[in-house]
Amino acid sequence: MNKLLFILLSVITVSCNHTYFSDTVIYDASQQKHEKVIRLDLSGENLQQLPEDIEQYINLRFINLSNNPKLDLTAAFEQLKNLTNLTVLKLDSNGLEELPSNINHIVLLQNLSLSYNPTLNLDKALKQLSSLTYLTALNLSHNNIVEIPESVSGLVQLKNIRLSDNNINSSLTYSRLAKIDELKFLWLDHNNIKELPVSVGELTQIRELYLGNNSLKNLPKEIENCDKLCVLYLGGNEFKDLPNEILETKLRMLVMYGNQITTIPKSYKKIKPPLSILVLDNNYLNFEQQKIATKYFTGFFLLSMKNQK
Amino acid sequence: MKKIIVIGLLLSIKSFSRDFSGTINGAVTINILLGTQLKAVNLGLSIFGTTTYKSNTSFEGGINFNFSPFIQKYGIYQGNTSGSLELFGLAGYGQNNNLLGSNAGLTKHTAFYDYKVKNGKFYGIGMVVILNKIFGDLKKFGNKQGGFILRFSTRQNSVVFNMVNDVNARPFTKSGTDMGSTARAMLSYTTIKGIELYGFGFGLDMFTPEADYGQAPRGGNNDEDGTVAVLINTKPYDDLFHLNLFTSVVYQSMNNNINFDGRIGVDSYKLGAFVQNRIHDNFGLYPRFSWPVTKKNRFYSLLDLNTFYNQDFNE
Repeated sequence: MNKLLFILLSVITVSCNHTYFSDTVIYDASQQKHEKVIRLDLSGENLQQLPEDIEQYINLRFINLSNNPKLDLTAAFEQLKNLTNLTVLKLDSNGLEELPSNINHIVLLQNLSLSYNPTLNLDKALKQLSSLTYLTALNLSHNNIVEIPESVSGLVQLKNIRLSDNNINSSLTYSRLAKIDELKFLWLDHNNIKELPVSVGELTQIRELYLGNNSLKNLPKEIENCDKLCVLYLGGNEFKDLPNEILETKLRMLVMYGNQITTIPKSYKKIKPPLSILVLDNNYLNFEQQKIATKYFTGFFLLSMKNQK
Repeated sequence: MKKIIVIGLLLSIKSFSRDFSGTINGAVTINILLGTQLKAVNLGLSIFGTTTYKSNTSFEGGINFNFSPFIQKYGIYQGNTSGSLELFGLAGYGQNNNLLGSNAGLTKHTAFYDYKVKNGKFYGIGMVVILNKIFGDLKKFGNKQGGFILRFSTRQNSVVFNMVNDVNARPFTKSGTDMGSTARAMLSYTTIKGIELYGFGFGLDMFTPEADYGQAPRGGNNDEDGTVAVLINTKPYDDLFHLNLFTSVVYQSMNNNINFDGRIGVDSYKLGAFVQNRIHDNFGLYPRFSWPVTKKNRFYSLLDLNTFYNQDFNE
């Protein structure tokens, strides 16, 4: 019923939030009402410099500068620093090797995307970003990263880091991410991870962990130490059983679609709250095992077992 | 020994039942529903009863069966049928016998009020459950809902607050969650003037498609800044979303048994996303649904013209 109360409160407050879900506008040199644009897309324009009128977009909150490899970012950031509402910057697919030192002039930056920049000097970039004290979300997917450098721990306000589609197999990565107290969302899907290191247990601050589409067969016992973990995505891995290691955690949601699970372990018979969402689609549960699942997980908010092979 | 217990129990019930008084009513209803998202005929059977214990504790409850051939439902043009069963019951303080609470449920707008009854004060709280069944391509959106009702009434006036949400708990196991008509809420006021009944209210109605939990969530719609996971939905109707925010006007007359419930409002993707994102982001129901947030609001309307046949069988 909390959901419904929330709906009513949200209905009352939504009118106050006029920038919510603004349309993304593709840059148009003839634009007259710059002040009305909240989100601007300049991607794939083969730019060398930002348009001169960029500083007139005084209410700009989001700018996409992706796929402009020839863009002079140092000059661009000098122009962008005057846009005091700018909080989201996308620099994907720009062939970056380094970030300009003046990126910290965009002082209110909260969300930075640097995906598809595999030649980026990550250690240096993370050191530079540590001066952005409002940075809460960082996208580093598709960058051929094997290990996250120690400098990541300088991003003290970071809440969300997307490391999808890399090759991260280093246990040090987890230890280093564990030093960011505010980190809540960690994306490590599509990383060809075969075994999760015990250092994952150091991530005691993480709330949602995305480990889909790797090659995991089991979890280390140390995952029990992840006290705040609520959501665990393990879809598209190679589990043959539901992992017993999660029984002592405080998980609410466990997603295990597309594994090779054939049986529901008896240890799950007395599964305790708060686990209330379990997704088992596309596994190998026969009718009997599905019946057992229905019996064990009666009262769950969601139990999904579609398309068993 | 067993016999003594049974006899004792029967005597207690008999003595207890002397303190009860009550009334029951019901009707067969026919509705014509014409709106921006619904074009249907509804055939219904409703039974509603009240009982008062020792003049100040009352109970009321009803059951509504609906069978509804439709040519449009949830905004989709497709001829088929749907049905629902609604049960509701309230307990509270007061002498409750004017039957004004008969429209406290969500699937029926007709009230079987008794304008001759002098005392109808009631302050009550109760539960409602609705089982929805749909045939054809929209079958997957049949679900089960549960919620609560608050009703405060005097002899001629009644205020009802009604909220339901889709549920997956006993006795509603195997129900889909966050799918189909997921959440509804209505605040309404009803007043009797002679043999006529007037009402108005505000309501909210949310509809989401069926999430495909067998696919990895990804960005796209409703992922404003590329930082959240967004569910992929099952086809067909993977992009079928509604958030209707509306106001309602009701008129009934005992003269001709023709009743009217008109609703107008807005169907807003942005509002739907805003509301549901807050829930999903804050209550651990990650990921989000793929509300098409850049699409514009649409006009929402529903006209319900209905008549009922009633034998006044308890009067």
